[in-house]
Amino acid sequence: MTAFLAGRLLTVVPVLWGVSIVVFLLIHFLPGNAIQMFLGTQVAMTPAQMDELRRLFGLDKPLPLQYADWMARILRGDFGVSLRTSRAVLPDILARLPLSGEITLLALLIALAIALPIGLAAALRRGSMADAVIQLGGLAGLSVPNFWLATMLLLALGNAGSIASIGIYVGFFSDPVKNLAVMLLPSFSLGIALAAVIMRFIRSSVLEVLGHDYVRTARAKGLRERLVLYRHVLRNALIPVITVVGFQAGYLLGGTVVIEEVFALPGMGRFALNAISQRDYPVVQGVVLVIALLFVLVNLVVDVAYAFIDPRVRFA
Amino acid sequence: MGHDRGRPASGVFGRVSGPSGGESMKVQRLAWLLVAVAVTAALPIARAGAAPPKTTLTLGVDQEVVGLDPNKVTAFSSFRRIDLLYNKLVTYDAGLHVVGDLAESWDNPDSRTYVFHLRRGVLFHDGTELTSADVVYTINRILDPKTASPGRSYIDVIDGVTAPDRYTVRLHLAYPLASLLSGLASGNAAVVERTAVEKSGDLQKTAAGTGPFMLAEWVPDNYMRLARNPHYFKRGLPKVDEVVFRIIPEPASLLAGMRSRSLDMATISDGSVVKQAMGDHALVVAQAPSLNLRIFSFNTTRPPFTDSRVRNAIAFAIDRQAVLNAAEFGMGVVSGPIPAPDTVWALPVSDFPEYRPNPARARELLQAAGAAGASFTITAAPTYEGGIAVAQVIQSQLKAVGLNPTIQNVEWGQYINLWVKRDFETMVELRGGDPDPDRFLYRTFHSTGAVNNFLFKNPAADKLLDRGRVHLTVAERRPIYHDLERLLVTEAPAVFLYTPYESQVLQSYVKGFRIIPTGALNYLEQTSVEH
Repeated sequence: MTAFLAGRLLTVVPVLWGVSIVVFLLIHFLPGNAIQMFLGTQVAMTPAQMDELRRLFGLDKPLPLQYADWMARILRGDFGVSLRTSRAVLPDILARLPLSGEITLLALLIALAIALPIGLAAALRRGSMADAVIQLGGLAGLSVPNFWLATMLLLALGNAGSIASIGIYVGFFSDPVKNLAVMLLPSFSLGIALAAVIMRFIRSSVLEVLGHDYVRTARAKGLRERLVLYRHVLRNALIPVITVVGFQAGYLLGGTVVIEEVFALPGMGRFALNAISQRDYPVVQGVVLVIALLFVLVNLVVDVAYAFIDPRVRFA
Repeated sequence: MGHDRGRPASGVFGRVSGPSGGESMKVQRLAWLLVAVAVTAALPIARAGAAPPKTTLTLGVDQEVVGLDPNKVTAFSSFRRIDLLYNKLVTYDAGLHVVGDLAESWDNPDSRTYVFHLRRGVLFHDGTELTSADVVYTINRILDPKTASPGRSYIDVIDGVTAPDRYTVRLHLAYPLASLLSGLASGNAAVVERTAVEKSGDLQKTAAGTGPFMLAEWVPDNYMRLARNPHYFKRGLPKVDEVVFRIIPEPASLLAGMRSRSLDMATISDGSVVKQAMGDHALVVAQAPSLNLRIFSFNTTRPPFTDSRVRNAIAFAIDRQAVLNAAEFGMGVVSGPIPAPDTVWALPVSDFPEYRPNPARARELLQAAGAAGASFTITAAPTYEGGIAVAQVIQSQLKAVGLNPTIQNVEWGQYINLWVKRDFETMVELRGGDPDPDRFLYRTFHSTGAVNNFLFKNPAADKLLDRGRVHLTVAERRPIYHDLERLLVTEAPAVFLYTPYESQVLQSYVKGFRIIPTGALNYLEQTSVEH
């Protein structure tokens, strides 16, 4: 087990290094630069003044040198300073991380809460009218873009009180009630597509297990149907679901970008989005690196959890 | 300044893998437990809490500020906070006349000298009195190249600043410049407190002004709370105890915030959403033309636009009101080179023959210039400033006179890049105007102008621009600028289209707010909440 863990942990390093190079190159190769974006089209500056700014921002050095500088500082835990706001990048990322993490987690929970009972019901009533309706609903849930759903929910529920509006974000630990009031609708908008994915997955997984010999055996020996379902069917059917849910958590974190924008939540996604459009290199690079790290870690946890649950993976 | 908001599609398809095993009940139980927690947590959130003792005005805006140092900022969103936190020597009133702000009065012993007499008893937010030393310090700070102040170019004509006494400031100019007062009325020339700057290095994260509101709390990307300045020099103002700015980037979300009364006021720039707000009887929509100017620019060094007849032909071909109707839901007024609300200087557009669309005349001119059927690109971006909708309407209007334009739709960063490099044939732009014609037109159309992206070189225009800035009275300057306006419409380095409206959506209980053409939120100090 230790060897397995160590091996998986080692793979994190090259992945992050690769990500750092890719994000650095991509953002620097975008047309336009931080200084142009900073000045926009309204401010008149002489070329000499622009050069001065470029030097001030450290953008006058060759690109490989800029990358080496950045890497050297990252390795010392220094993520640099935003070109636009002159604020240190890492504290700003860490301040926004809990929000994005919370939306992700809530969306996951909401998705599970919706998907589990419905997916099971659909599988058990396979081919019925209810199954067809559920399948159709699942397809709709998959197809609806979350930003559209979010906007529609906001507009439709505009008069339904504080829970359905854009509230001011407060941290969960400073006021859990207010926090959840603000976060519920965004999390729901984000989680609904995942609910559809999981629901369809559970349905097919349960159907598959229902066809196995051991289920027939359980029934044949006279076990009550409820016990057959819980002890034999669900237990086996949910194993692959755990994997799906784990991997989806990473994608959800990416999905928060749009949701944060629509609900005006000061999370990491919106931070990154603004930084990209403003070519704020240190911020973009920092956020992407942190998200990549989280993504890799979540995957690692899923792998480990899976190995823990299913001995065949551990010993393979 | 706007920016492009890409919408990455959220990935919902994860990897699916794995055989089956045990350990499933825990997952399900956990899931149900968490649902229960979520539901119970949501229950008590049904409109709780009595009215707060303080009166708060909550304002939704779509852009976060980029720093608060008045002498350094470039973002429009920052200026709108600075309006409330600081004062300038002079400012513009709703009719775009220069009036005293921190200066009670001023006089010109000669055309190169300004003497400002300061208000007495004006206190900074920390309680110390504003004196001429602070004004001298501020002006030197702006002029210092190390500050990299965008305001430097507005006032770099100043070659001497002194404080004869505690309440008098004397400015000496290298040459007479009529738009000096406009430069001093810019947010970038807001007067800062010397000791506060020296203490904190710069003022990007703090505020040390004399304005109606004081910075109380700032959570970037979330909200900024400004508290009433009890020592404000206009007695009895501001009328509310605090103003909360909330950053809500999506226009539809701003409208949702208004409908649910989470916001008392919202600055909405998306025409279609403003339209929806107008249909909502509970909301009030205030609109007024701004000093921004929508233009269709030519690169006058790229054929066929080297020939002024071609540019003039296009000025005849474009139906400005139709562009305004189609691209902005009619929310704006057709304008000449000087933004229409600036009535002190702007000629009525009926004075320009080009403003009566005349396709036949356009075809004639194109024929004469040998440019009939010419192909070229129109550069535009999907942001508001980038005006892609405007480009589409113009494209179809120009096709109607036989031209063959194609639209180059680029991301906002690339747009700015092309703009800075002047790498375009034609371009849709939104230019920020100024109440003083010298400040706006000189930098834009003089052959040495810093934002003369048209690379327009016209000796007659240069001469008028040079003459317009040395006289100080409106009566002397007005005929000069009227000549210049006619010249610019005919020579057409750009086709001048319209000034869009500023729109503020208000709850009906918000009283006393007015939009002024400069976009400054000065009237927030007069605004009250009357439930």
